[in-house]
Amino acid sequence: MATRAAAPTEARRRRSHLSPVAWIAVVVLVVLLVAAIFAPLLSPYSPNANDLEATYGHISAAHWLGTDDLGRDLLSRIMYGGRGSLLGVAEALAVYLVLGLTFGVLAGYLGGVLEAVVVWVADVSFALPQIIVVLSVLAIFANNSGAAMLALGILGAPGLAVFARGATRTVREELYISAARVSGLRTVPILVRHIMPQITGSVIVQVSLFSGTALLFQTGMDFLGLGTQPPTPTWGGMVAEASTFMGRDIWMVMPSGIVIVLAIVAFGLVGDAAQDVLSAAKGQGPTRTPASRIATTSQATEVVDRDETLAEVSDTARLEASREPRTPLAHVRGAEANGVRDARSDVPRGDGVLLSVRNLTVAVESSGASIVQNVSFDLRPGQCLGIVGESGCGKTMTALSLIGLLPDGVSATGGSLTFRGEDLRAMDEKQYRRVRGSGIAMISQEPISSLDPSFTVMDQIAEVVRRHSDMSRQSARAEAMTLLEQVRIPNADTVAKRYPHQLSGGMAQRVSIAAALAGNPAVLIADEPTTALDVTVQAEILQLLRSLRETGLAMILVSHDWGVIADSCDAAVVMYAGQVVEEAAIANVFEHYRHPYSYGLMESNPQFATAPRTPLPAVPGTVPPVGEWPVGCHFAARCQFASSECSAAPIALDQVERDHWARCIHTDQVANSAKVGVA
Amino acid sequence: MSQPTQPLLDIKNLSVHYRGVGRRPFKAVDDVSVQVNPGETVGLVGESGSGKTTVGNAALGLAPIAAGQIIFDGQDITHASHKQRRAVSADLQVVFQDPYSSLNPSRTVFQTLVEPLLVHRKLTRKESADQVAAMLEKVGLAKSAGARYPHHFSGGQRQRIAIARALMLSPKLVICDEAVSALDLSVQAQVLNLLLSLQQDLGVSYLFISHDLSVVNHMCERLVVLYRGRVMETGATSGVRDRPAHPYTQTLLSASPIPNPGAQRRQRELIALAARPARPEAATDACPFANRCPLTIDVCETTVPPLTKSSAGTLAACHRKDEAAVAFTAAAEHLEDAER
Repeated sequence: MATRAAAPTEARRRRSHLSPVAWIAVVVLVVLLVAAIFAPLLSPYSPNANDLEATYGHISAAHWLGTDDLGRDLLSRIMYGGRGSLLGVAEALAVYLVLGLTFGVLAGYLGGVLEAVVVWVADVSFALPQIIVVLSVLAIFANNSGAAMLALGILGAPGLAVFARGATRTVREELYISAARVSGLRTVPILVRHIMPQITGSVIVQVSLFSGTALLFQTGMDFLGLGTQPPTPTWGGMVAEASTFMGRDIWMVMPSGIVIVLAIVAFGLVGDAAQDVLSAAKGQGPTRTPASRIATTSQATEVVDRDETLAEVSDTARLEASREPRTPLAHVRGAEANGVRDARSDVPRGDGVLLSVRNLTVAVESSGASIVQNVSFDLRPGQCLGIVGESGCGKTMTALSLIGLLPDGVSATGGSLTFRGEDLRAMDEKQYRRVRGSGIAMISQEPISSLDPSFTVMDQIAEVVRRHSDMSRQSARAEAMTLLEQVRIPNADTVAKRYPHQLSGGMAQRVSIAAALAGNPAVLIADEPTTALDVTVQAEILQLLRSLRETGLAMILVSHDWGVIADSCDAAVVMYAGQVVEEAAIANVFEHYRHPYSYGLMESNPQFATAPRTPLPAVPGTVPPVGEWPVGCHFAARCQFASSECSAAPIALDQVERDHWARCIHTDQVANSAKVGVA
Repeated sequence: MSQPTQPLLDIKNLSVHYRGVGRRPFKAVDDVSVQVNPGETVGLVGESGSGKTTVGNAALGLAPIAAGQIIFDGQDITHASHKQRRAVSADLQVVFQDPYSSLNPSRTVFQTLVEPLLVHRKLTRKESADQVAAMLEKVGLAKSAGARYPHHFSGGQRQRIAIARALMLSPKLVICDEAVSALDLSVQAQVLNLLLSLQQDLGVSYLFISHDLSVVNHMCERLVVLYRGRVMETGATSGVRDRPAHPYTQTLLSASPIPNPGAQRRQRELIALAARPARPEAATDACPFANRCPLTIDVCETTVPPLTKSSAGTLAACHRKDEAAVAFTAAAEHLEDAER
C-alpha cells in the first residue's frame, strides 16, 4: 500500500514549479471568474442603477472604477458583464473541445475511413470564411450570442481535430500502446489512460489560444451591437458605449478595455504554464544519448573547486539516496584518481609511436565530475587498438577527445595527447582543423546520419577531398571516384550519384569510410562502426577496415562486442566507469585476462556459456553513473573478489607482465579462477 | 517423430503484406510456418528485413495478415475479434526491444503493472497490490519501485519491468522481440538468466526473436532462420548451429565473429573462400538468396525450393542443401584440424 501512497507525493512535488507570471495569470482568471459568477453577491451596485449626480466619475471611494455617462458604477457593470462574456467563451470552448478532441483522437488512433473523413471535413472548414458564417447565424438568430458562440466552437473544432489527430498518431506508434493492446485493453481505456495524458499538454495550448480568440470574438460582437443588447452590460458593449464619449473623457473606456486585455493575456499564459507543468510531470528523465546523460548528471552535481582533495565527500550520495536505496559509500569526484600514480602513465613514449595518450582526463565543465580518468595508451602505425566496455564507461568520450570534438559542456582537463610529436591539447581550433581528417579521421556508428542528406555521395566526398588539397573540381571528382573504388563499392559510378537515404547501411558506412580517407589520415577512429549493421554486412566492413590497415593506417576501434575486437585488434584497452582497467595484447586479453571486469564481461557473453539454457555467470548490478564513482576501485561493488582494501583508496594501473597492465590488487585470484573456469 | 502434444502456438503458412503508397504490396512475410510447444523456447533469427518481428506482431494481432492461419492454444486467432483477442491476451504476452518507449513515461511502474490485472482479473485493491509487489520481487526489483516513474530506471531495470508486465497474468507464451538487444553485455546476461529462471518456475514458453545468433543459440531449443520474409532453415538448435544445410544459415554463422582471436582468424579465411556469390545477378523471385549464394544454379532462379529434410537433419529450403551441408562439414573439419 506504501506504493500507492508514495505516487501522488512525487507527482505533487514535481507539479509545484510554476513561474510567478503564470501565478499572476492564474490569479487574474480566478478573480474574473469569481467576480462574474458571484456578481449579484459581490457587486456594490446594481449594474443598471443610475446616479445622474455622479456621471463621468473617475476612481473614488464610492465608485472604485468610476461611473459612466448615466452614472452607473463601472465595477458593477464589469462584474455583471463578465457573466455574458465568459459564458460565451465557455460555450464555444465546450463545443470546440468535445467535437475537436473526440473526432481528432479517434481519427488519429483508429485511422482508416474515419480519419479520411475527419481530414476532409477539416479541409473544407478551413476554406470557410468564419466571420461570415457566424454573422449569418446571427442573421437567423438575431442578437443570440449563445448561438453565435456555438457556431464559433463548431467552426474551430476541425482545427483542434487535425491537431489532436497528429499528436495521437505520434503516440500511437509508441511500444507501450502496442503493449496495452496486447494486454487486452479496450480502445477507450487506451485512449483515456495512455493517449490523452500524452497529448494533453499540447492540446491545452490550443485551448488557451482558442479561448483568447473566442473572448475577442464575443466582445467584438457585443461592441458591434450584434450580441446582447443594452442596457444588459457586456464587456464589448461597455467599450462601445465608452467610445462614444472618448472625446469628452478617456477614462470610461479604460476599465473594460483593460479587463479584456488582461483576460486574453491570462488565457495564453495559463496555457503555456499548464503545458510546462504537464511535461514536467511526465518526467523528462535521462534519455539514451550519452551526451544528454552527462548533462543530466551534471545538473545533479554542484560546482566544486578543481583542487579538491581525495577525502572530499560529494553530496551526490545524498541525492542518490533520495532516489534509490544504496549502501552509503564515500563518493568523490573531480581529479580524484590523480591521487594515485599509475605506473602505466610513466611508460615513456616508445620509438615510432604515432599517437600517445598519457593521463587523459575528461570532465563535465559545470560540475567538474570526470567522465574519463587518467587514460594512457600508445598507437603505432598500422596497429589496431580496441577500446572495449559497456555504455557509460567513457569509450566514446576518449575517442572524441582524440579528435577534439567533445560535446558542449565537456572538456579534456588533464593529461597529454601527442600526435606525431605535436601536443594536440595545446593546439588552437585552426591548427586542430588541419589535424582532423588529414591526420586523424573518424567514422561513427550511424553511417547514414553522418552523411549530409542533401548532397550526393560524389559531392560529399569531392568536397572533403578539396578541403584537404588544392585540387581542381575535376581532379577532386576523379580522386573521389578512386576513394569509392578503394572502399570496394560495387558500381561506384552509379552509387556516386545517389543520395544518402538511397544507400543501405553497409553502403553508407563504406561511403563514410571513403570520406574519412579523403584527407589521407594516419589514424582512423572507428566508434562502433558496425553496431547498426547486420552481421553479414559487418563482416564485409571489418574486412575492408583490415585491408586498409595493410597500407599502414592505424586504427582505434571502439566496440562493446568481443567478437569484433577479436576479429580486428592487435591490442585492447578495457574501460570501466571512466578508467582503463586492463590493457594487453589481444591474445592476452582473451586468454590471460587479469581484471575481474574483463573476466566478468567475457563470462557474460552467451558464446562462452558452458551449456545452452544454463544461467550465465552474470556480473550483478550496473555501471555506476558519472559523478557517483567511488574513491577506491570503481568495480568493487560488483566484484566477486572485492576485499576491504579495494574500496579504501584508488587502485593503480600496474604492470602484471610485459605489455600487460591491470587496475586490480587481486589479479592472481582472477588468473586462478579463470584457469579453473577453462578446465 | 510423433508430436504427442498439440503446439501452443501454430503459425501456418503465414503471409503478411504491407500496402505501399501506389506501389505493389510489400511482402514482409511470405508463407512462414512456426510452431511453439508448451514450455519450449523457439528462436526466430534473421537480419533486418527478414520479417522476424512481423511474424511476432502477426501473432499479437498487430500486423495485417494476408494469408495463412494462426492457432493459439487450440483457438484460431488469425482474424480475432477484439473480444477474442482480449480473452487470448491473458495467455499471450510480449516484451519489446526498446526499454525506453515500451513503458508509458507518465504512469508509475505500479500503474503499468496493475493494468493487465484490471482488464482480466476482478481483484480487490489489496490483492492486486500484493500481486504487483510479488511480481516486482520475482523480476529482481524492490517493492518500492512501484511508486516510481520509468525514467528513474536504467535500461536493464526497465526491461525487468517490461518482463514483469508481460508475466502479470501468468501467460502461456511470451514473445520476446529483441528483448535483450538494447542491453549491455553484463545486463543482457542478467536478463537472460531471469528469463530462464522464470521459465523454470512458471513453465512459460518463449518465442525469441533476435538478430543475435549467440543469444538464440544459448536460449532456444529450436531455431527458425528467416531471410527476406521466408523460412530458410529450421530445426533443433544444435543441428542448425553445428550442421547447417542452407547456404544462408552458413553465411550467417560464419559472419558472426568468434570472441577468440585465433579461432576468428581461421573462420575468416573460410569466409573468404566460401562467400563468393556464384551468380550476383541472379533473379531472387524463386529463392531470395540466389544472388548471394555461392551454389546458385539454374533451378534456383526458376523454382521455389521446398522446405524439406536435409541430410544433416534440419529442414532447409534449398535445392542444393545436400551439397551445402557436405561443404560446410568439410570446412568445419578443416577448421578443427587447423585448431590442432
